[in-house]
Amino acid sequence: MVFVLFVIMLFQRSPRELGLLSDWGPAMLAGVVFLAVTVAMILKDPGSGVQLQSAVVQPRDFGRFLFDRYWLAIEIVSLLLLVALVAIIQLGKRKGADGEEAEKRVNPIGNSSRCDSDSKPSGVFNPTPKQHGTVSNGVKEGSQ
Amino acid sequence: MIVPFGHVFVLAGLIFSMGLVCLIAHRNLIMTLVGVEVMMNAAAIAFVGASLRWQLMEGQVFMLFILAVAAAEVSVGLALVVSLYRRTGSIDPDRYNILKW
Repeated sequence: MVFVLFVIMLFQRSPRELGLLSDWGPAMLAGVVFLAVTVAMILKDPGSGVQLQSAVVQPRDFGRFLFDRYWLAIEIVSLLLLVALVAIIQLGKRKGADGEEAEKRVNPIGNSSRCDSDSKPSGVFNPTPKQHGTVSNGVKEGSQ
Repeated sequence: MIVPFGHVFVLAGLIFSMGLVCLIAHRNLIMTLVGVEVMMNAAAIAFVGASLRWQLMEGQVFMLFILAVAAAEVSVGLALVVSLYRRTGSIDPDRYNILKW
């Protein structure tokens, strides 16, 4: 699973992580009780001894079945994945408001420096060459 | 195939309870998400077993939907965990005790 990578990346041993019996004891008890009840319910069921027969379906039939009968669910799932993608992009921004402000701070200088053709390739990413570019632009206009 | 129908469900219940223990016991958001993922996979196993039992294709279709929903859940959950880790420097859910920071 993809999760293993993230576990390795973000895992840090916290001191509260499953040390004593009292930490994982109740959870293990709940899990064991749940498992016992589940197994008892399944094995009590008279239909649980039925031997499974193997079945083979062609991918074409499967796709036809899927898109004939469950097309609405497919659309809903695709919408869900799209919303998840948008959410990731929104959440994964490095620093949201600060980065946008920085872009706004850079952009007017970029627009002003876009008027002259000389300093356009020099200062796109770095603000300080742009200021030099505008200064040189003023000097150039004064000289013209 | 000589697998009885109940054994598939016992396997699904076993994996589900393992995911439940992982979800309850760990004090780590990523391990919690792993637990939810394992529980979803157990439900998918149950769906496929029932699909074989009654020879219907709906179980496999729902397995596909479970995979898609799990992918969406994993991605959004991981993005949230990374965002919280950047804001607070911890992935312990008990550290998130303030609503505004």
